[in-house]
Amino acid sequence: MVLYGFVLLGFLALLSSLLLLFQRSAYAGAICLLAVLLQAAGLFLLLGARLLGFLQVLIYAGAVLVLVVIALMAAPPALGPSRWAKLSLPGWILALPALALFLELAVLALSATQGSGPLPQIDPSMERAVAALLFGRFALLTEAAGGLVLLCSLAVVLDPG
Amino acid sequence: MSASLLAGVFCAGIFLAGFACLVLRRQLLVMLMGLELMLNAANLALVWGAARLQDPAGLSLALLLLAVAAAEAVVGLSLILALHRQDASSSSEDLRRLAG
Repeated sequence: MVLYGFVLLGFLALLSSLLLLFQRSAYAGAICLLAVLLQAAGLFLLLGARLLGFLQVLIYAGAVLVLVVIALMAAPPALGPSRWAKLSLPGWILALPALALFLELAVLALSATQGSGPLPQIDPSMERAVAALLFGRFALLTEAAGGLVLLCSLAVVLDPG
Repeated sequence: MSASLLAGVFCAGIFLAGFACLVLRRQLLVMLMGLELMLNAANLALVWGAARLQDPAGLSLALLLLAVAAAEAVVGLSLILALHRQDASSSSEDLRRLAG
């Protein structure tokens, strides 16, 4: 059942990311991005990464998307050009590659759900090992990421423009 | 093995969609959203690797990547807002001049 959920969420995430690519409106694109981020959080939870799934919703789908919406409201972009309207081919010919890709993915998903074992899960006790790594072997990287976040927030706050 | 292949296809597909957004779209905000998609796909691949190999290093790197992505989004959006305040432009086609 977990494997079916993984396949379904992965499909939806891929579909939402493709929709983001083909949206003319940046507002609709932000909704597609929100869908991808929430589906990725669901994938993290299905893989057993509970902390990362929670942080994904909190930071990405919460904070970053709010910033994107504020930027959209403050600086509304013009509607993007429709690249597909310039093509003289009929619509059903353009839909054929998408249909082929969908069929290929469906066959792959069927073989994945029937041929493989259960979905690999992250052991809950691994979170302690993650903390030990972040403040042990990766301490320099952690400090660098913290410094980067501090620097970015200072740069935004002190921006005179 | 097939589940791994499928997860790889999902990660690669989301990454390529983000890359296409970054390269093909002209609205700066949508380009930034494409960058977020690419980072998200990398995060997904890291978590899948961590789950498959039972390696905490993948999860640690995914957490660090989350912080870097948040910082990148904040700076990118503030740059877009600053650019919009200067000449009311939000298209990458209008950015033809670099000035210090």
